[in-house]
Amino acid sequence: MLLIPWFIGMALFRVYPIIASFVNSLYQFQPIRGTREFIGFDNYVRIVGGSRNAYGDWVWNFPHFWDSVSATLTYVLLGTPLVLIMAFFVAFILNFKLKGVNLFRTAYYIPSILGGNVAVAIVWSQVFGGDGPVNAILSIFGVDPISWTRDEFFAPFTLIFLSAWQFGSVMLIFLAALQNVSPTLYEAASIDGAKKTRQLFSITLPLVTPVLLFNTVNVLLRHFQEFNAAYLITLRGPNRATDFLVILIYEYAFRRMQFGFALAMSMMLLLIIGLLTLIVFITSKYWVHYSD
Amino acid sequence: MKKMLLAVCLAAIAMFVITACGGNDATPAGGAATPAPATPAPTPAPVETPPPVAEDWQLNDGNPATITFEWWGGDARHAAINDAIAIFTDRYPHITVNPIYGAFGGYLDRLTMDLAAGTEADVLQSNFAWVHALGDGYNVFANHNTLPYLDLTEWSDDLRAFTTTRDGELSGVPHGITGRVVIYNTEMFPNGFPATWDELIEVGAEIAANNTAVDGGNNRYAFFPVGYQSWDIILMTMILNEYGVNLQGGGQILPSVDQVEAAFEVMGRAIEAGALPTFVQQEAPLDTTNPVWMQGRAGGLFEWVGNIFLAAGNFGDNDPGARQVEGVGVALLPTMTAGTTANSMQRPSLVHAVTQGAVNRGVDHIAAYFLNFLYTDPDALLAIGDQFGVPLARSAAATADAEGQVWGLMADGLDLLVANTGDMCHLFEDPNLRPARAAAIEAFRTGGATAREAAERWVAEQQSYLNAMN
Repeated sequence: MLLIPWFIGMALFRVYPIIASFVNSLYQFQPIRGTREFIGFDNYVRIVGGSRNAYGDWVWNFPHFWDSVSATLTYVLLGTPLVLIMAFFVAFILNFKLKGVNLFRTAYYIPSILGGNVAVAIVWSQVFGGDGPVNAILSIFGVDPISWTRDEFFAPFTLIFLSAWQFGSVMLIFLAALQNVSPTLYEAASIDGAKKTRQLFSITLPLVTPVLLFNTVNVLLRHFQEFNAAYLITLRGPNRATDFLVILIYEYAFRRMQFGFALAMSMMLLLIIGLLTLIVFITSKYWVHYSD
Repeated sequence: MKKMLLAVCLAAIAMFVITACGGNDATPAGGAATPAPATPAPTPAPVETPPPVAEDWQLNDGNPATITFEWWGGDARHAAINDAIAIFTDRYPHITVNPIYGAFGGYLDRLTMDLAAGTEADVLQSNFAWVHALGDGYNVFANHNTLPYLDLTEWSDDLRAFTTTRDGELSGVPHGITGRVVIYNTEMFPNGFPATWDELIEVGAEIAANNTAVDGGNNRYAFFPVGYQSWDIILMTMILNEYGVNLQGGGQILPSVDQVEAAFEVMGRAIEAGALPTFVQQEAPLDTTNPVWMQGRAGGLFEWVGNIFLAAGNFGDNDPGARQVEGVGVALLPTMTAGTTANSMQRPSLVHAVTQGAVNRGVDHIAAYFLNFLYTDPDALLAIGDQFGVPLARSAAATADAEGQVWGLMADGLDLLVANTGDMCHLFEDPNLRPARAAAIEAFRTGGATAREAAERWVAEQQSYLNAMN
């Protein structure tokens, strides 16, 4: 009985929108014009279908989607581990009893509070601009200026760096987990002659793996939902190198008014996220260690 | 001069509308022009005798009612319109007008959501392209031909043709016209902006002779178009001026691959010579606060007439928004062939429309009365001032003229614009066609496509969207 309110909320605000989105993705759906024509899986065929051209090369019906999948996966698969590594590394250091440690904890958390807003995007554009501080520092080492936001190769990395910079909340969760590791385990390991590195890999890391799993899924989802940075800093380019799926879906729904098609892409995104999350959960039995 | 300007505006609009999307009257250069299949301009319905103005108590039979008015703009526009609303509600105290306003960013998203949910405002400000993209025959906007109280004699037939959609429905009323013109640095171009691309490339190469930074640095450029819309309009204007063909007609993309390729090649030569920036050199911020322009390192920008003061004011030691600007001139785009008519692509600057939602809610007559009030009431016109730009509706234009609102660089820009009329096809800013062109131009500028490949993409991708639309 006590779970009924939760079930109602779940059904109304989670399950229903997903089902409604799937149903509407089977239509040529245009709520503004009031048109809704059933077209079966045509929207999906437009996304995943293709044919061989005169030269025998495979050509997607809608290559833009696959460009976006590529851009999104690049961002997610490089950005997620980077955030986790950064967050864990800083949390590990901040777990030591250092002078002024609280100040550092706050300082590292601030970028997370700022989030991916417009002001941050502008600052980031300037930091990585042609004559920005990043290039100024690189020039000291004789590196020619790099176009961080206008070069097809570097633009995704600029956004990944921005994401990594905002590791504060992930770091705090790691820090809480680290503080829960019993000091007696380290004392016992020291008595047995284990060095700090061995303690890190044999005690600390295994004991925080449940939190690592939680953070991995969370950061993964956050990266799939990234919108502002690519929209404002790299303007989705160059040549769609940072044209993430959520922006493409937004464009087709609210700019091109192709709601049914946008919903089909949303379903594809849900599938991709679901698959990756499933992989993380299935593999977790090999690397996540619960204390019981 | 100002009266003459407004008269020329109206005459130019007439020419503009007559040519519609199909082609223009520009003399094709070098005999290479392909005659453009003409697409008939929408024919506005004839205007009947102006409706009577309601006495204060008559509006809605004296019963209380509420309407909403949504617009975008800056603080000055918000204040001016709120003043006009206050005048209206003082005069008709039983009517409440709820204002909804904000910045342009996000406006279309909110509008789309509201339209989908049926909660759109009763009267709203719209872009020209949205009237066609959102409402063309789909009951998003009311048919203004049949609205009571709206005095359509305020707008000429030609002006109304802009917002006439399928089946002769009038989906809104345009406020004025706008287009992009070159504003140039007179120190860099003391004899005026080059008239042809060849001249610009030649001068641009000299200006760029000391450009050493591949990423921009302190380089100087003869011409620095900001934002992909500028590059898009530049390419289309080149095609329009050189070959006399516009974007589309009869569901077909009119420029041939060869014609688009030729325009891309000229653009490529200008980039190669340093007259135009490369893609990498043109970093954000992509607006008129770009330091390249502000610091006097750009020979020119390509800006909307309505933005002239903002753009020119950001130049050198001028004050942003200043009308009296030192060191800045106004010109048209260069042409590909000497002696060819240089046209500029124009479209309505703003559209105001009563929505179908107002009809459904039974307040369309009040919404229409309010819209008419904004365009005809002397007090409202004075309150609004030039906050919507230069008006072309009869009463609003007369007030702007009497109040001396059109002068300085903006007047110069409008003079140029209306004297060199081109036409922006109503599908030019369509949300499906424009990204296709932008992607082709970006691919070319980043070296991802040759002029030929970019031209093929420019034509083919737009054509596929047109096919899907039809």
